[in-house]
Amino acid sequence: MKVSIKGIGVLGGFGCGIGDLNKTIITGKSSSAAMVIKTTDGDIEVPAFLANTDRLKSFVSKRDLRRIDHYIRMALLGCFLALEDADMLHANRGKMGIIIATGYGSTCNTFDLQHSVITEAAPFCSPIQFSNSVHNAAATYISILLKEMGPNLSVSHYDMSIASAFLSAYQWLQEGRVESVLVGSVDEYSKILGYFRHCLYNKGNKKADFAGKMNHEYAIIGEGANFFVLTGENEANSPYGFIEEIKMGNFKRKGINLPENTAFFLGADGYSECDDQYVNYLSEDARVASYSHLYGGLPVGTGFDIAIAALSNKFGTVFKSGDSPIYNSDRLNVIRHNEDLGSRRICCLKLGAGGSYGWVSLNH
Amino acid sequence: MTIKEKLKKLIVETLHLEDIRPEEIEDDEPLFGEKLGLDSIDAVEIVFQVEHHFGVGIKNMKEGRPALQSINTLAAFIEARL
Amino acid sequence: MKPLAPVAIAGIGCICSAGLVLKECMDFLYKGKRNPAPPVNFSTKLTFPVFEVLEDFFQSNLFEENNILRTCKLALTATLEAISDAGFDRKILETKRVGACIGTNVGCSMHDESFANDGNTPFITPVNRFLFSNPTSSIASEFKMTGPLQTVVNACSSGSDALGLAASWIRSGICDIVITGGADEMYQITYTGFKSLLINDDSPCKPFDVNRKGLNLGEGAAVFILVSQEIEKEMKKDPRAYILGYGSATDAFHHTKTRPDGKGLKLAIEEAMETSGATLSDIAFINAHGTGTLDNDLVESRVLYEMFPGVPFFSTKGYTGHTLGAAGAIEAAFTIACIEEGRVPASVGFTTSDPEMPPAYPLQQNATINGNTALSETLAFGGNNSVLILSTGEHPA
Repeated sequence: MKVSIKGIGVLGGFGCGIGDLNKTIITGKSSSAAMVIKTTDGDIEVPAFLANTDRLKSFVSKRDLRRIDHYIRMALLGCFLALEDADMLHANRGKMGIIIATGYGSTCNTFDLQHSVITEAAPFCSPIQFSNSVHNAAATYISILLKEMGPNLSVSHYDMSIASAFLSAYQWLQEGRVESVLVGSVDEYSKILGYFRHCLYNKGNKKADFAGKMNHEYAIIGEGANFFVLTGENEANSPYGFIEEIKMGNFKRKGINLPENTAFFLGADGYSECDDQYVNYLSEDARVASYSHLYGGLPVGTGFDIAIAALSNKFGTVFKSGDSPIYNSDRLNVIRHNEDLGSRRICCLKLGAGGSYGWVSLNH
Repeated sequence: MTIKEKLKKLIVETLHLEDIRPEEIEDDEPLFGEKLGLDSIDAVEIVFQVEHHFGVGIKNMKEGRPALQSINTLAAFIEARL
Repeated sequence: MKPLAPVAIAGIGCICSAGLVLKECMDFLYKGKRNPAPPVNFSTKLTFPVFEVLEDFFQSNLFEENNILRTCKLALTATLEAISDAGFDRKILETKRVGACIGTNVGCSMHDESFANDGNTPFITPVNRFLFSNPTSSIASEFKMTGPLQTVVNACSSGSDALGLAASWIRSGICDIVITGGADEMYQITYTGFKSLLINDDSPCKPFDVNRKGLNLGEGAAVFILVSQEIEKEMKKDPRAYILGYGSATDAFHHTKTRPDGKGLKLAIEEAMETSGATLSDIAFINAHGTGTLDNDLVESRVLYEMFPGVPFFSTKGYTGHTLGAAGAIEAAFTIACIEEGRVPASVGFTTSDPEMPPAYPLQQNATINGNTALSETLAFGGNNSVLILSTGEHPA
């Protein structure tokens, strides 16, 4: 079954909206912010790609937004941008499902709550913060704001969250449970993640597992949201193309059967132990690219790769890859200049924790 | 700051009522009326903030409902238990 | 929606405060007693009663990974029982296309106390910790699986949603076997969080009763082994039961309050019935969500009266507490066991009806039932409504 991509909403370090992502792919550069974290050893500074949610106010009233934190705002804005792009903001949408994936969850809230409940002498817990930290809070808010009563699913499986979310979206459409699915993901920056980056890439830190595996300039923590409106095959062909296949499995136990005639977008981003293993599963002539230099390291980064793949379908171009020594091996065929997409499909592949893999392929 | 002033400031800040200044909340106006647009989650948040900042607990909403009618009733509830 | 193909359940495992295996849980339910108490697994000044698994249940010699969080231990324990119940050798999980889809309250978040306690300069091994906190990954790793993985974090309906989603994986042919269910441990943040929402009862909960004051939390896990028709043919014994139908719909109303007109629940029930092909007269009983909160029980009783007049219903949360992400799965396990036994337990905690509720009351005594098909429903924080139609036959009878 072909599942059409009708609209895309993205935000992250590159900006807000599919237009900003498009501009950023062309320039090949995203700007990071310098985040200062206080530690008992003094202040440390780490770069991060942050998302700005100011545009959300054009979709949702201030009053409706008052209790909503940054994590949920990113998800909401991603959803509204996708619906706007699909021209479905005000239309009679028919029955729509909503799926929101997250790798880390509502991290800032979770840590604040851990701090207030576990480490404080007199444990306390704000009800607003607690209810926002429940993992399906973002999906709840979007269903309320859209008045959408179809099925609603939240998933959180670290770096396989996107693949599993798309799998469920595909099956809902296949079974006829819904006419469209608003599916996507969100992850946020938090100081724990910033500290994590410092631990991994701080030169001279003997405990850093990843030291030397990647040039630390490229391993920047990212946050943001990526959302897609998907519909069944009766829709007119979308310029973004269609989702052809979703596969998940374990490459360490059973290898991977990858599709032919394909350009591969690799989910290497400096934060997975498998970043340097793509080379073991791709054929020598497979053309590959990585775009994490535009959106950063986050478990749901594959969603941004899918958005970029959709743009590739729209413009018939595979955009030049970012530079990174992780996968820049002699055996990998990196796309160093923009090139024609031709008849190729695009496979967004992520190798993840525990040997798991997930890929989402797009065609046009 | 009086208890009433402290309560108004607390409500505006912790419920993120950006459009309203603390002094715009009348002492006797219904907290759960049209003007402030508060709901049940705000109610339990106020209960939490009162316990956290004044050390005065509200066991359940049966006890809380009359106390949460207005700034006046809430301040009186707190003062009686300090 | 048109009816979908039934999906076979080869084996079930269940652990909660009522028992360490499903049979033990059912024996406990039929006795009609319960004994919730303040938590012992973590220290707290709060005294709201909960339903914990008090025994030292984790048999570490049976599992490769021992340094895992309690939620994962509960999930693995229930999985092992389910595999044994199915009559499988665990090696089959390595050779077939086997996926795992588990529901829980928190998935891969850094929901790990040691993060908090490391202070300002922790050394972090994040990937390993994510694996520890994720029951799906624990199961996949322990049983060396090679199929798709998903962790459902739909609050209280996670367990039932996981079952419904997993059934789709079998129907669509992407898996031969799916290990699915729900797991959640008694956790300090959740306990304190629910207290802050003022929906805990300070005494044993009373689902549907006029004097109900709120819920009691619980912990546990239930795991189901779903199999394809091909695997069914290879099995030495008949499947234990079938998932006939699944429906899911959202209230779109409020993030903690139930929608007063019950429309979300009605839509989910309609979809579950359509996909199962079952009619009203096929439903032998209903395993209600029945948490003991003022809102949930009121709305649920009205919907059940309107849509299933005369059909007996009960809540088992009086025996287990609200096990959150595990609830939908644990209650699905109870539902199937009740069909097998031909009897259902009393809805413990209910003694006096609420005049605001319609004149249909949950069971006050154990009762015998006829028929092979029943309905189990869960209503989640955030307004998710998830309904399963379960049967011990491929079709209602």
